[in-house]
This record gives sequence, C-alpha cells and structure tokens, in this order.
Amino acid sequence: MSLKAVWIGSLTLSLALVLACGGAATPAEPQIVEVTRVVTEQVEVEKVVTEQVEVEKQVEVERQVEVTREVLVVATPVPPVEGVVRQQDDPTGTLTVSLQNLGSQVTDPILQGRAGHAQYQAPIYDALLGFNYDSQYGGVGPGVAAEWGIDPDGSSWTFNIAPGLVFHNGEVLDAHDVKFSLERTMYHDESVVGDGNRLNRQLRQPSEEAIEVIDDLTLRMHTDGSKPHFWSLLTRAVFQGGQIMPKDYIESVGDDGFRAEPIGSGPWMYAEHSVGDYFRYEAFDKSHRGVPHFANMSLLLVPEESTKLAMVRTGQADLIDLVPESAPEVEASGAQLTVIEGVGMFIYQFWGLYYDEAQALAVGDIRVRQAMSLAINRQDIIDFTLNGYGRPSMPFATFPTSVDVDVPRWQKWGEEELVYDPDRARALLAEAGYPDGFEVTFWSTNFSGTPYMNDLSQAVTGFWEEIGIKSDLKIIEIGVFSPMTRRPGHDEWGEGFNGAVSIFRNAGRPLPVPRYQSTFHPDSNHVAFGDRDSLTPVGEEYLRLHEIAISERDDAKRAEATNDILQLVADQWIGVPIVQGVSLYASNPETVGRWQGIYGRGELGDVFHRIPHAEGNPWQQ
Amino acid sequence: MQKYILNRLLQGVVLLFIVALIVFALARATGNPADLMVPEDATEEERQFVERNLGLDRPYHVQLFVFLTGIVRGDFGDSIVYKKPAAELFFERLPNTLKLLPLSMFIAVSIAIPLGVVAAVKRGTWIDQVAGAIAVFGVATPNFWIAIVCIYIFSVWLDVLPPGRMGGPLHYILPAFTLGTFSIAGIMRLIRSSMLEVLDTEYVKLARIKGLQEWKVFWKHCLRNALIPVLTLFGVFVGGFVTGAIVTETVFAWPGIGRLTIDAVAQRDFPLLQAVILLDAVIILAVNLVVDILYAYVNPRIRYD
Repeated sequence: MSLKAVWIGSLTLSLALVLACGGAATPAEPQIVEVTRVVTEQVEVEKVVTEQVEVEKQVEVERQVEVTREVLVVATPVPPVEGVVRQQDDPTGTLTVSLQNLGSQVTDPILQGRAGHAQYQAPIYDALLGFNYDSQYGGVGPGVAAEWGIDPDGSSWTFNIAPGLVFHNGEVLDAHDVKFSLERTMYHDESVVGDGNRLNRQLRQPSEEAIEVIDDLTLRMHTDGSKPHFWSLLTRAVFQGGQIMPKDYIESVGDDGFRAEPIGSGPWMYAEHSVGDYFRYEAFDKSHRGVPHFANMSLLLVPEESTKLAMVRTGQADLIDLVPESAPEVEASGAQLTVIEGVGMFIYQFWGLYYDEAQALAVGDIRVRQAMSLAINRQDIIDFTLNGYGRPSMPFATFPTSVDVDVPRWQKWGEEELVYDPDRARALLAEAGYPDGFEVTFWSTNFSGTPYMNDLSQAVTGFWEEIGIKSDLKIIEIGVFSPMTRRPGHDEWGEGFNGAVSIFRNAGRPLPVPRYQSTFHPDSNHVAFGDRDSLTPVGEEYLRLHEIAISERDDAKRAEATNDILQLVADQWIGVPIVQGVSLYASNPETVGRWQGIYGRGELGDVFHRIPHAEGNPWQQ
Repeated sequence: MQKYILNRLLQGVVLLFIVALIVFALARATGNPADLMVPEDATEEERQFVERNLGLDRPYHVQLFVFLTGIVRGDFGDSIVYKKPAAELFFERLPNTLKLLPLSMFIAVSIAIPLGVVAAVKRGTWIDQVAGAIAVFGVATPNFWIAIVCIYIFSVWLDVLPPGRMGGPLHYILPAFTLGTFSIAGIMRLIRSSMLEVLDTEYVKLARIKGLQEWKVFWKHCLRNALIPVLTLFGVFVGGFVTGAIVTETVFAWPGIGRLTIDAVAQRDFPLLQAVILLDAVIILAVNLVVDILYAYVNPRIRYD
C-alpha cells in the first residue's frame, strides 16, 4: 500500500467518523437573548425583603412554637410572596438547566450523602417534611407529612401522612413507605447518608423498634429522650435523610431495579440520565408539591462557568447557576439574575487555642482576635470581592430564619460588632502588647459550590496587613483541607491547623445548635473550646448550655440557652463571621418567567417545578 | 519482529504495574472521598459511617491487594461515587472522546503540514518566521484559554457554533479545534525540519537536475519522506490528546474520559481514578507499540531484530 493511499484512506475515514458520530443528534438552535431589564430592580426588591425581617421573624417564631406543642399542628403558611409564581394549565415545553455540580448522579437517595448535592434527586423524591413555600423566609413546611408534632410524653413524635399521595407508578404512599425509607437510609450497608447515622442515634434504642406504624397514615417515632429538634433530621431544609421511597416497588424489583428505574412521589418523574452529562425528567401531575409548568426538564452538567454563561446567552440553556464574579457579565448580557438569600455564611475560625502553647501566641488573646475582626471592611468585601452579592452577617451560623434565636437582637449585634474600625483594632493590638502586629498562618480552600472562598481569604488577610498582621496565606485543595479540620490525627499541638486560622463555611440551615456543636462541643471534630480532657471554663459553660439547647422542652428556656450559646461564642471571637453568602442564577427572559428560590436553600431541587414560562409570568411587569 | 513485540509487551506489563502502584499511592495521598461526601460539619461518627459503607476503613495493604488482584481478573472495582463498575464507566465515555480524535487530527494535520512545508521551502523568510511564531503560540497557549476565546468568538459573538456539549456536527468543531491546536505546533516543526533534511538529499537534487517541476519535487519526493517521522509523533499525539481532553472536555462539557478523569480526581473516587489512569496507560502503550511497528513497515531502513 502506498503512503498516498494511507493518507487518503485516513482522511476519508476521519471525515466519515465525524459525520457518523455527529449525524444522529439535532444541532441546538441558538436564540438571541435581548436586553429586557436592568438588574438593579431585583436588588431593590431584595432590600425590601431585608427591611421586613423583623416582622417576618415574628411569624416564624409563632409557627415554631405551634410545632412543638403537645398536639398535632399544621405548618401554617404566612402570606405568599408577591406574585412570583402562579399555577398554570398543562405543562408544556422543556426547561433546560445547566449546573456546575450534579453530585454523585445516582438515582437512589441513600447513595447521595449531601442534600446540597442532591438537587437532581429532589425533583423525583419527596421528603417527610418539606419547605414552607409561601413564606418569604422559607423554613420547614409540609412534605409527605401534612401534620407533625411532639407527643405529650415528650419523647416521641407523630407524623400524619397526607392522604391521597401516590408514587409515579400509581402506588399509594403511606406510613409503611415512610418507615421503610427511613430504615433503608439508616441501615442499608451501602448508605452514604451520614444523616442516617445521626437519625439512628437520636432514636430510642434498639432503633429497629423506634419507628412505629400506627395506621396507614400515621407514624410515630420514639426518640432517645427529649429531642425538640428531631424534625430537622427529616427535611431537605437541613439534611439528606428523610427521602421517601416506594417500599413495595423496591422489594419487588430490588435495589438494582429501583436504581435503573427510580420511582418517587415528587413533581418530576425520572426519564433518563447519563453519568457526567445530564438528567432528564417528565412532569408528574399528582404531586402534592404541584404540577410543573414545563412538561420536560433537563439538568445538564456544565462545570465551566464561561460555557454556562455562553449557553444562557445563546439560548442553549434556560437557566444556569453562577458565581458572583460572573454577575456583571450576566447583567450586561440581558439575562435575568435571581438571588437566593441566606444560603450560607463565610467565617474564619481559630484552631487549637485551648492548648497551653496557644497562650503564648498573639491570637491566644481575645483582644487580638477582636482586633482582627475590626480590621475587616466587610462592606468592601461585599462590594468588590462579591460584586455586591453578599450580605452583612449575623453571629456564627445564624440567619434571619434561625430557630430558637432572638433574631432582632443578633441582627443588632451584627450591625454594632462586625464593623470596620481599624483605629480601634490598632488600639486593641497595642493594649494586648502587639502594637507592631504579628505573624499568623491562614489556611484557605474553596468548598464545593463556592469557588471564591480563596478570594475572600485574600481579602481578609489583606485587611489584616493594614494593621500590621502579616498573614502567611496557605491555599490548599479541599481534599487536603478537610482531613486537617478533623481531630483524629491532629490532636497534638503542631498538627493540623492548631495555632492557625482558617476560612470555613456555615450552611444556611434553620437550626444553629448542631453547627455550634460541630465546632465547639468537646466531642466534636473542631473542639474549639477543648476536648473532654482539656475543656476550658468557657467550654464547660458551653457544654452546660448545649445540653439545655438540645433537650429542653420548654421553648423559652431552650431559646434562652441557645441565645446564651451565641453570646458565649460571639464574645470569644474564635469563630468569626465574614459575610453572608447568596446563591445566584441567570435565566433567559425569553423562555423563563419570574421565579423565586427558597430562602436559605441555595439549590433548586425543590424549586424547579415552580419555575414558570416567560409568557405565564414575564420578567417585565 | 515477534521477539521485539513480545519484549515490548512484557515491558508494558511492568510499566502498568508501576503505574498502578503510583496511582494507588498518589490518589490516597490527596484526601479521602468520605470527607467530600458528608457535609463540612459532619461528626466523626457520621464520617466513619460513610467511610465504612464505602469500604475505605480497610487497611491500605488490604485495599492494594484487592486492587491488584482485581486488575488481574479485569475487575477495576466499582466507582465509590457513581456506584457503577469503573471500567464500565470508562468504556461508556471512551467513544465520546474518540469521536473528537479524527477531526482534531484532521485539523492539526491540515494546518500543520502545509505550514511546515512552506516554512521549510521559504526558510529564513518572513513566512518562516510567521510559521515559527504560530508554533510558539501553539505550544505556549493553554488549551482552556483557546477554548474560552473560541466560545466567545464563535458562540457568543458570531453565534455560529454551539458553546458546548455533545450534539450535531457543529458541536464537534470547537472542541476538536481546541484539541488539535495542541499538536499543530509539534507537527509543523517536525515537518519543517524533516523537509529541510530531505531537501538537502541527493535524490532531491537529482530530481531537480532531471528537470521535474518544483511542486512535484516538494509534494511528491520530499513530503512523502518527510512525513515518516511524523508517524512517530502520533504516539505522543495520543498521549497529549488524552491529557488535553481533560481540559477541553471540561470547558466544553463533553462527557468523555477527560471529564471522567477530572471528576475522579476531584471526588477522590479511588477505584475510578485507578481504572481511568491504568486504562489510559494501556491505550497509550498500545498506540506507541502499533506506531513503532508501522514505522518499521513504512521505513524499510528500520529493523528491530
């Protein structure tokens, strides 16, 4: 064979392969997105929301009180947010969403560990408790359970399953499915739902007997003593546990059959998926969450931000998630920005200050730690690092939605204490004996979903430089960062982050106490106040308050203990808020109408079905 | 030749064993997937629950033994994130990556060969300098930058090509071009130097003395022989293609083995990462072996015995 023939053959084969592999699919039809609205209008709407926090909180507190009374109650909706979504007729069209992360892309809920990564599962499955869609501030609302409450004995909870619920295959959803699902989450040897383990530990032991089906629509769970916050383990507002799966179907087809053709009771039926590429769904018209506006939905995995932006600008996607850095480009392009508030908080925290060695360090002095906070211009961080898409913060792990928290008091605290006052910071440093500053190591990483945390770290250390604190900023990969935040293997001075500072993130959950527990409790990973053998006096006081905050049935006493914990921690300046984060989405206004996310929940798994067509709810009013 | 092939295969097995050990150790040196599968504030008990159910609580030497004995049986284990056999995931994605290969090769060759020939023929002129600049640009410019610029120009600005994902024929152009640019510079420089060498040979001088037209001398007598060294570059090209695919497929949301690799790394999916790296290594070894054999076939002066 001559060389010429080889080349001609190769080129012909190449062309044939290209045509063969590309011929089957239909090319996407690009659409031009026109500039239709300026985004400052949206920002102003959010401002109004902020001003209403106090009034709204009163409503939220009342609802929580009702939930924990000794009778069953219905989660009472507060007045709906002004005309964002309205129900429409038959679903039509396809909603195409490009997302940076689709988690593990598994169809079985027990194989996905984090609720935040499970937004591709949430359209399919309901949780025992859901969200309060009608409240401006989200929170927990009816899910599969229409009513729930703590029983008079104080150590059991009763859940009334909503009648008439059905799975996608037509089977009726009842209390047996709920019991089966919770037990499958807790005991299945493939379960990676860490929350299942937490749920198990909160139940009366042996936990196999703790979940009791009273009748088809009533379920009782017996807890290990008084657990007034037990509900939080059963809602996607907090954890991944609590997803409801069809008992009869799974027992009939087995795990593999269920994973191949998953059945849930959510507003979207699973159609198909390809790992690393997409999930496709079809609308289900019998979900208690409502009928989707679109007949079909595709969730596309598009990890690169520039590609997502191009997709929404060219009409290849109707909706994308984005980071604050991209917001100006989106605003300029005419795509619509939607902001979801209260989804998390960026903080920095000090490690290992309870060691004797730490007392010799500058950061061992509370005045120094407070000075470091005063040196940070948080508004500049919001304006420049986050392009305006950040919010002033309340104390560690608290939000306007927080349960058992005196929100107005702590909002005021945030306004008065998390201020920029470099002169006072320098004075405090001088008073502590460090007028010329000192050196400190700052560890940083980007957590999943917030790829700008290293930028925040650089901003914070930059402000510290201005008062003479020289930061050795060490940016490392999350896989290396995470193990260093765990106590096992790092329980000696000089190991892990001990003696240093690191950035961290708090999720926007309604319950702050578990987050305080994971950082300040002596049995936690972070042991910020010391472990059982080296508990500081502050740590002992925290432990006393913690026991009240997690078990006290009297609402007032529990709230008092929770607020005392907040004060105790705030006074130590060990876990210090930087700013509150938001989630951002860009929509094509030609195809998608106005919609609203759930306050505190950055992902859209429980929102997709509420996203309307442009003609049904246009952005331009 | 048979002895040579057998020898290369044995070397390949040893090399794969070394690669297996390295990837096993390095994967575990960069973190634990359980850390990424639980919330940041999960308790140690919850993390251990996940770790136990993922089978990561076993000692390293046990995991290594399971891994190596599995390879012998052709079982690379199940992806701990996606819960599917790692090899199945690899072979599901491999065709998507291979679909880009022909077009990217075509783009690279159709730009690099004429450029290399012209640079050699016009040696020392401004054309040669421009070709050299293109070569330097191609080597120095990162793939992701080329990809993003291409998206901006052809998708956003001109609106003639889709910005990403698999689809119809138009979807192939930008990723294939981005992948192809990696090789343009290398092939062009090789063609240029080969052509210069061939242009100086006696048989080319003889062809000219015989009065052959200059284009015939270049394209028939010179290029045919100058192309032979390019064949050896194909092995390198495949290696570069695999690594280049990691970036290109990420930017263009292309579900190939490049994306699978980066996902496995990001999620510390040990079995998947091990499978992807090892199977990539097998492909690269096989391609290089085939190239060496072909080289002997097209160049009679080469003998491996």
